[in-house]
Amino acid sequence: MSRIRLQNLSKIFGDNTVAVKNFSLDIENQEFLTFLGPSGCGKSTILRMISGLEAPSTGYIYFGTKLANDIPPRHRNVAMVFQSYALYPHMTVAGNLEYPLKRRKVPKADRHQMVIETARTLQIEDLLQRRPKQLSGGQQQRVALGRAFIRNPEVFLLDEPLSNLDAALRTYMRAELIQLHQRIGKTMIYVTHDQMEAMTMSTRIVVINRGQLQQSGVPDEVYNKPINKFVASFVGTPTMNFITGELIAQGEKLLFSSHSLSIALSQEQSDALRQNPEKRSVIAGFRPEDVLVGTGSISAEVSVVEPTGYESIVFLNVAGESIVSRVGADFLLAPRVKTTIDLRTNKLHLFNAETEKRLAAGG
Amino acid sequence: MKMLQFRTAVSRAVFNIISWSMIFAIAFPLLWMITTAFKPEAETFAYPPAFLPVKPTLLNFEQLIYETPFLTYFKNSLIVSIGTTALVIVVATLGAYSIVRFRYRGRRIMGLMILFTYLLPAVVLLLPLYIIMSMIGLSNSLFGLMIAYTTFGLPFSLWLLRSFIASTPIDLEHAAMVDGASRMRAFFDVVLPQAFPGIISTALFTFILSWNEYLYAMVFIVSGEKKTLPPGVIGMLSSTYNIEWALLMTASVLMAVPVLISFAFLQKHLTKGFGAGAVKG
Repeated sequence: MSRIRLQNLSKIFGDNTVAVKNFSLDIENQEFLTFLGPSGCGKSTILRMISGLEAPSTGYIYFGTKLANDIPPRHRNVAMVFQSYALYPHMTVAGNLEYPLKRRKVPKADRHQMVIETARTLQIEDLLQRRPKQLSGGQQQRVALGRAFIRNPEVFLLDEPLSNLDAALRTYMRAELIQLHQRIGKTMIYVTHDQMEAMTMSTRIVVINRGQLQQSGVPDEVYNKPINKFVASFVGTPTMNFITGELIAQGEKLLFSSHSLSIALSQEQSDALRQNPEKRSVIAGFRPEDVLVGTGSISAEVSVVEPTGYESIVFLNVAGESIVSRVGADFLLAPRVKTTIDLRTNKLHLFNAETEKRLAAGG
Repeated sequence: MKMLQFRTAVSRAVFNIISWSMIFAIAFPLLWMITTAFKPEAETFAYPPAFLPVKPTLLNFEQLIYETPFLTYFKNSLIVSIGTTALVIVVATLGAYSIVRFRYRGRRIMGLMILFTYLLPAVVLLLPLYIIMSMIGLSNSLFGLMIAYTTFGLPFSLWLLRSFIASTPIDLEHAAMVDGASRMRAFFDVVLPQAFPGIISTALFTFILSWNEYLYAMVFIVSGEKKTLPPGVIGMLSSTYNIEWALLMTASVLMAVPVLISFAFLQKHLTKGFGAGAVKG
């Protein structure tokens, strides 16, 4: 199968809820594409439209050059892993793995062999005679993956499959999924609200908010060149710091000025923004790792220190504004201690205060 | 400590005495019915009354089976009860699935109307149903009786199965549809197994309702050879001036057998399937 094309998709539910609005996207073959967004943004709805479980209200879905809108799920050659795993409780693990093969009239001897091989690949061969209620969360998730992989579809659709796992298992399964994708080389479309999963697993991230596509790009691009304030705030943990202020011309360069701090923009940023810069209201954004504590001339007071083991997250009060910084694990300052901070100007992001669209980004 | 143990022992003893007394009060007439079936006529009204037969006999059973049309009535009851159960199960499962899973105009009103029907006493529907059956030529027929029983057995069954099907996560059906099943195939492969305890409950309820029903059977069926057990046995063994008590008790014992067998085989399925845990909360 070549690409999947989503063309002007919209989905409106019975109570006039607009879940997806004019969504268009090309999904290339063998991509690991992630739909990233907050709960209720429409990412699962888009996935379900691709699978055929939901019909678009308007718009078209193409599998290659073939219009797929009226093709039922069983004929689309896609496999889906649900957030709830959706294992058939009245069947054993072997029965669950075998079911898709039975529906496709695979001969019994072949089915048995494929079940054994898939179970071996996912290390669940000891669980074949158990029922889903006898499995742990991680085991259920492997069985759900096995049921998707066993029939070798063209596209894998994964709807937040790791969300019910504990942190350690989630990290382990992330690596497993990446390896699986590299091994089988098929298109995977992954839905998550966890930006860490999106960043670590994807070849491309599609950020969605309120049913609309916000940005589509490789992880590095989405992280370092967010197209608007929403993408900037959603991608990255801790979230980006935002301060509203004005752009003021200062000779050849521009100055970002707010009541709490002033930052001189670089020449490159100034040149890029030199379009009616006088008192233009903007939002400055800077990532916590670009806030340097203990240097510079901006006065700050430590509010809270959150040690995570390998680093510390420091909440600072800068003239009434709360700024978050990411520092090393050896950070020694305690709450209520006064210090100074500096910002990596070349990493500064600027957004139009009205439209929240990117004006300039560091990089 | 000893006082606490004494109080616990006393409360447990009191609880057991009350419980067993209630069980005895409920079970005693049933036990008397069974023992009377094995008593000769002379012992039935012996004074002082004896719980157990002095000279147990199978004569009542022989007489009932070989000298009366009991087996004909038994056969008719089986046909009507099994037929009604099958009809109700098919219509109720599909109807419940329709109400739960599909969205169409009038769905909610139809559900409320079905519930309203269930609230009516069965006797209220007797005359209108009889008129309808007569008009379509189904009066005095076992099939007509099946339809009549379905009319007032279906609402409860539909609402019971509705809750079972609603509790089946829709993800299971969707998973089956993505795995290669059509909607109907997903219904049979996934929904029905999940609703199995509800189907068993519905089947037992409908079977017992049809098996024990007297009023409709008496009104709808007039031919002797088509009578079911309740009106047949009463008509055969009781009159204004006389009741064949021994045979009546024997008939009651035999009438209870299919119900007891059904319960014995199906009881375990009533609780199976609850909390299967295949879907993470």
